[in-house]
Order: sequence, then structure tokens, then C-alpha cells
Amino acid sequence: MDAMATELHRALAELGNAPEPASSSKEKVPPLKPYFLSYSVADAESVTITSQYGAIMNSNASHERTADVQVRLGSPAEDNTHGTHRSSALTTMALPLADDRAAIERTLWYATNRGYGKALDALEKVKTEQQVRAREEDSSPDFTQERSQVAILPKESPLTLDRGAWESRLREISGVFRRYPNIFFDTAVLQATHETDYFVSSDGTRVAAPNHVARLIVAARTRALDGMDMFRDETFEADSLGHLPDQAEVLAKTQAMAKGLNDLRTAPITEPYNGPAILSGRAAAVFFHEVLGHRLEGQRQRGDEEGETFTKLLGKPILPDFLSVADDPTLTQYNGSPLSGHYLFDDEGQPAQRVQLVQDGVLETFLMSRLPIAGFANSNGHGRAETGKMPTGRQGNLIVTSTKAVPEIKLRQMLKDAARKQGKTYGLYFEDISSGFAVTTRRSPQAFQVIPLVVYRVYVDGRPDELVRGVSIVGTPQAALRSILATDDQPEIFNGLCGAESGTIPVSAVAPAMLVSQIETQRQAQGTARPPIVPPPPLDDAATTSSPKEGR
Amino acid sequence: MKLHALILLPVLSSFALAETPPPADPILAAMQQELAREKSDLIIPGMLRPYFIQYRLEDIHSYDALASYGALTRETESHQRVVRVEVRIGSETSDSSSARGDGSLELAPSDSDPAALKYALWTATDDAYKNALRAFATKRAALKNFQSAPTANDFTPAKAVTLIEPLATLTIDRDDWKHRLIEASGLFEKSPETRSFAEAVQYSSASISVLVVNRYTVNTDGSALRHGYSGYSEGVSVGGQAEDGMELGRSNGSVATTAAGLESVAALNKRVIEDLISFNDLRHAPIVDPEDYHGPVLFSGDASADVFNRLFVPNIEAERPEIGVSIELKDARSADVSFSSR
Repeated sequence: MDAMATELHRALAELGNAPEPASSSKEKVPPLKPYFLSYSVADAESVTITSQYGAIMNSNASHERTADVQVRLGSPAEDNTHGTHRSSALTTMALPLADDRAAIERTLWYATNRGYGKALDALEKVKTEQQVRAREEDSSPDFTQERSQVAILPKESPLTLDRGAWESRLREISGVFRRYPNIFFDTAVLQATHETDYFVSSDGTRVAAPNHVARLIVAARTRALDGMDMFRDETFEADSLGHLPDQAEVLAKTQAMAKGLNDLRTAPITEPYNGPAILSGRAAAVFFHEVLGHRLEGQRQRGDEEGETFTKLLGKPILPDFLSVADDPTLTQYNGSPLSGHYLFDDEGQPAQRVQLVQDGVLETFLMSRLPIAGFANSNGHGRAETGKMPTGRQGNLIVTSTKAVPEIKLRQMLKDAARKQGKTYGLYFEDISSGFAVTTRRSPQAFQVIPLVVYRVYVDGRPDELVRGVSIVGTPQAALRSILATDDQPEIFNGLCGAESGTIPVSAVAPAMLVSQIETQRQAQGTARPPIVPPPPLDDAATTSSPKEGR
Repeated sequence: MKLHALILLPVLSSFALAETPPPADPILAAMQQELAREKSDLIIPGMLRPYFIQYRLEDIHSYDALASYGALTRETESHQRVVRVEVRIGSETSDSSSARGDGSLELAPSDSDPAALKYALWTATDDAYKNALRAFATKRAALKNFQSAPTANDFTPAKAVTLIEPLATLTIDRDDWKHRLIEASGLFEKSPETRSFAEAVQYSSASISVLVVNRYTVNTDGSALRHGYSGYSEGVSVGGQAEDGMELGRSNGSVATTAAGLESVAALNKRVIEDLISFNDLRHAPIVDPEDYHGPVLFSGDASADVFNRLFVPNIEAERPEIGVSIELKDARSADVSFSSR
């Protein structure tokens, strides 16, 4: 930390002082001093253990220190990061693992020098482009002015684990799939990271913040006779290894998942549909993350390529008035369950803040990094990035709350009523979804897609629910958000990883189940390969041959 | 029918084992058992059966460490097993293979668990068979576009071989080597010969990289092989810029089959200092005009080995020609002669 501060001040004092020693300097270029410099260092220890089918595949530990050096030239009003040159400010380099001050300073010096060269080049391009182009719609500056932050929190503790014990647990978990001959891919992965993030900048900010996470992922895949691949996963998330659920609970969930996946293989394919549906809490959480969350990221409100769906709807209703949405990275848990999207300081050294995005259906603000947009000149602590990427406004813990919450049974009745009214024999119930994506650029339709894993038909005539497969939810954001009719009273959590321009970061979304009056589904893309031709290899222990094999 | 197949399997595999001497290695045994099962059962009704299947498991153990400016920046170690399954459809005259290499890859367990290994082989074999069927159909269609048939067969028959070599193991004193790298990469500042121009050194690093592979191969010819090899390499890299901005650097290293075969501490440090001095000399050397010299050159042993490797070796590697291209062996030989006569 001290080495970072020393080198930062030295670089700031000396860079751009000497006239460029350009060889045959025909024209005298006035030297340019950076107006902003920051060093962001992630000191991370991690362990990953992968198992499959009852055996360990891989077991790796690593310790890395990575420095992201940011150099900004010009002025906050216009600098080398303008427009599409955002990444020109960033240089990433591995730092020594030992606390060797001289070597750390020298590495930062080398990276700063390289970054300075890149920034000079980009600033020249920015200036030229600004001359050539028409006036920008949003002429906000390129960098916010923020108060300096000083918070030196204790370093993260070293990552210790009983590797042998965890390997045994993973063998047992993935060994569950030995009893399911139709599941031809399975994996159980343990990931644990202990990280300390250091941030030092020329505006006086000095932050050191610890961060730790443990994750256990169990995933499996099977294939229906028509070639459709089906996938299920169970993710267990906690702040530390000791807080992950016990083995009995993980095994029970793994068994249930394997059985569910096996059932899905033979479920009928449902046709494209446009009608009422219930999204379970987890499904609704992903839906909000994709449909609303990404579109409220600050940087998506400016730039020539952005769709700007909600930019001009500030202060106007975009959701039914019984719904409110906040993003609160300060929360470590929700109703006792851990949240992945928690952090203390964002990747620009700004303290995490709770942000009320939508209040009673009305859009209030955006998720802001230090990139200003019209009407918002400051960060609200949501500048996030993977190590090696430039931070942008991102989600942390997105939390959807409702004042029109009914018990689940009532919501199901409302679904049947809505389906009947629309002349349908059934409504859809989306129990679990894997992922989704949103398109926000102008050149493409402003659409989203959410990929469900488990979908049921809920019949209006009282027949039992029927498991179906093969559809995904599609739609456009404004219409989809307005068609929410009611919610249930049991919020659920989706912890996951979210990828976007600034890299892959952990996020959470929390939402109750929702009844939607109109949802459109489309056939899911599917494989065409037939299931494995030969049945799986017989197991040596004879106890497991009783399950029927239908490989052909 | 199912019951029948289940009973038949153990019989088949014990028959296969009786024919070739039973391998002492449990990994080879598991590979042979799955191979026997696939050989007998792998067929889509109405389609062709594979005429050749080969399983290759590579057990890859690697260790890398890197130090820069006199401090360790990276140390990684990994152990991984990968299986590659090759399935050929058709016959030796013309089969599903292409010039690019075929088959499918799958991670295999690092645990010695025969059931999990067979499971990985099973999915990889299924993929490889389906790919081979598709590839064979495509190839047969493509061959119809050419008037003359290919001049060479696609595969050569080979006798079954069984050879179990001792396992290669990764043996290196990690702490000792980390210490060496830290020392070597910090010499630019510490050694009296180079301290005077330490400011000009923009990067100075030293690394060690070890790769130990044990390769297990079984195929339907009846071969069973276990072959291990190791590579230990060490390298240093120093550099910076000349006054005019030209980037200059010196990088070199040594390679051996054991850690003990690498250069000693003294030799390594001596080389770093020589590299640093050479870099500094280069900084002050005049620039050569690229057009002003045509004449004899003396290559060092190291440099001439490299010249041969780049200019000669590619000409004698027997690569399969593209479909429809026929190569006369005679022409290839004369090209060879003309090169060596220069």
C-alpha cells in the first residue's frame, strides 16, 4: 500500500515534466501531465477443486497480485477515455507476491509508463474525432469529481482449507450421478477466494478492503432422444467455506436435481406461447436483472450505440406502482441467505451505496460509476469491473419489492383465471431459469431472452401441472415490465456471475414470484446429436446395475 | 437382449486381456476394458463400425515460477489428465481421417478411479464416433470432385506393441529455484558490473518451467504403451529502450530433461550479467542500415541450429497433402538434394 502511494506520487510529480525526448523533435509538443492516476491492486488467493462422476479432476490453488493502473490525460471534461476509448486508461500487470517494496514500485513504474504512452495516443484520437463528428447528444464530462476516501480495513485472512476433506465431499457429491445412466455430463466444483483490494488514487483516495467468497456448483447435462440438451445446476454460495451448507443438504439437493433432470429428458416439448405466466422468485430475479438492471447502468444512457430505453423516462412510471427496485451492495445477506453482489468499496474506490432505482413504479436514478451522464454528475458506488477491465456502472444486489403480494396459492389461482379469460387451456409456470441476456445497442432490437430450465403447464381445468421443455422467454423491456399483475410474498435469491463490457463480476438479484399477463416464448435452440450410443460403462460395484438402461 | 450384452462384456474383456499380456498399470487396464466394450458395442444400426479406435491419456504435471526485479511474481503448479480418443471409419485405404488430426478430447480424473476414467472415455468415444461418421461422409463426397484417386492410403497397418516404461516424475527443489530466480532477476540493481545502468533496465525477469508428461496409449491393434518424458527449461529476459526509443532486449535460457541438467547458479547469474551488459552495449550501438550488407555471415552453433530448424525441417516433415493434391515422392527428394547442395 505504501509502495503504491509512493510510486503514484512520484509518477504524478514526474510524468510529463521533461519535454518528450522524441528523437528528432521537429515540433515542440508541450508535455502533458496526467490529471488523474490510480493504482488498483487485487491480492487474491483462490482454490478450485473440480470433480466428475465421483473422482477429482483437478485441484488447484493460486495466489496472484494484479495491478490495474489508470492514467487519465486531458481534463475531466474531456480525456483519453472519451467514447469508445474507455480502455485506453488501463494497463494491467502482475505484481510481486512478496512485499518487496522496490520490486513493487518498479513494476508500477513500468506499467505507468506504458499506460502514459497509451493514454497520449488515445487523447490525440479523441481530440480529432471530436472535431470531425457532429455535436454529441449527451455532452457530459468524462470523469466525475469525488471526495477522497480513506479507509484502511484489515487485510483478508489467508485462505486455509482441509483439501483432503473437501475432495472427499466433492467425490461423494458428483458420485450421486453414477446412479443416473442418462446423465452423461456432471460436475461438482468448489471455488473459494480470499482477496484484499487496494486502491490508491491521485485525488487522495486510499482504500484497502477485504473480500471473501465460497461457492459450490453442481451441474449436470442430459440429452433427450430428439437431441435436445438439458442442463440443471445448483449453486451454493456463502461468504466462507465454513458457511456452505452441510453435506447432507448438498447431497439431497443434488439428488433432487439429478432426478429432475432425468424427468426433463422425457418431458414433452411445448409450443411457442403468448399468454399469462408465473415467474418463480428466482426466475423473476433473473428477469429483472436482464430486463431492467442492465438498462439502468449509467453508461448505457450515453454514447452513440446505446439503445437508451429508459434514459428519457426519468421521473416517469416504468413499472406498475406496486413495485420498487433498489440496488444495495452494502447487504451481505437477505433473510439470512448470503448475497454474492456484496462489496464495501467499488472498483473506483467509492463506498458502496444503496440506490433506490425505482420507487412505486417511478424511475428515480441510474447505477453510476465515475462516468457522468446528463443530470448525474457523481458516482453512487456502482463502478465495478473484473480485474483487468475499466469499471462501468454495474449491478450489485438488485432487490425487487412489492406492495401487492399475495400468497403463492392465490397467485396460482390468478394465473388460471387469467389464462381462462384469454381462452387458454393452461398458463405457464417458470420454476427455475439458468441465465439470460439483454441486447441494449441501437443496431439491434431492444430485446431480452431468458432461458428457463424448468417449466410447467398449469392447466385451468385442475389437471396436475405438467413438466415441459424447449422454450425460452423473449420480449421487449417496456412491454414486459408493464404487464406484471401481482407478486407472491416469498422473495427468492439468485446468486450468479454477470458478464458485460467491464468483465465478469458476482451479482445477486432478489425478487418475489410474479404473475405476468402476457409473456411470449419461443423455441429454444437445440442440438441435433443423438444421445450416447453405448450405455455408460458398468460400475465395478455390482450394487448399481438395477436402474433401467435405455441408451439406444 | 440387454441382459445378453451385460453377460457378454466381461467375457470379451477377459478374452482381450488373455490375448495380450495383462498390463501391470491400472490406468492401461481401465482403458483396455473400455476399449474392448466400445469395440464390440459401438455402432449405430445401419452405419459403419469403427475399424480402428485409439485411446491416449496424457497425465500432465507442470510447474512454473517467474520472478521480476528481484521478487517472485508467479508460482503455479498444475496436474491434469486429458484423454484423446481417435475413431476411424472406413478402411486403411480411405477413412474418416483428415490432415488436421481428428478425435475428441475430454478431461480425465486425476484420481485413480477406473470408473470415472471409463466414463470420460465413454463420452469422448461417443463424440469421436459421431464426428467420424460425419467426416467420412463429407470426405467421400469431396473425393468425388477429383478425377484421380489419392496416391497414398489414409493409414498404415502396424503390429501390436506392448511397452511399459517407468513413470516420469516432476522432481525439483522449488524453494531453491525460486531463490535462484529472485536473485537472477534482481542482479541488474545489485551486481557491480550493471548497477551503473540499472535505471535503463525496464524489465528483468527469470523463470523456470517444468513439464512432465506420462502418456498412456491403447488401441484396437492390441498395443499398450506407457511412455514418460520431462522437460525442464529456465529462461531470463532483460531489456529496455535505446535513447531513440528502439526497444531492445536479451532473452535466453537452457533446457534439460532433469532439473540437475539445467545451468548452475553461477552459470545462470553469469549469463544474466552478460545479457545485461549486451543490452547496454546494444543501447549505444549504431543503427545498421538494412540495405548495406550482402556477403558472408558466420552463424554461431546456436544460431545455425535454429536456421536448420526453420529452413530445413519443414521440408522433410511428411505431411498429408490436401484432398485432391497428389505429390510425387521423386520431386520431394530432388528438393531435398538442392537444399543440401547449397
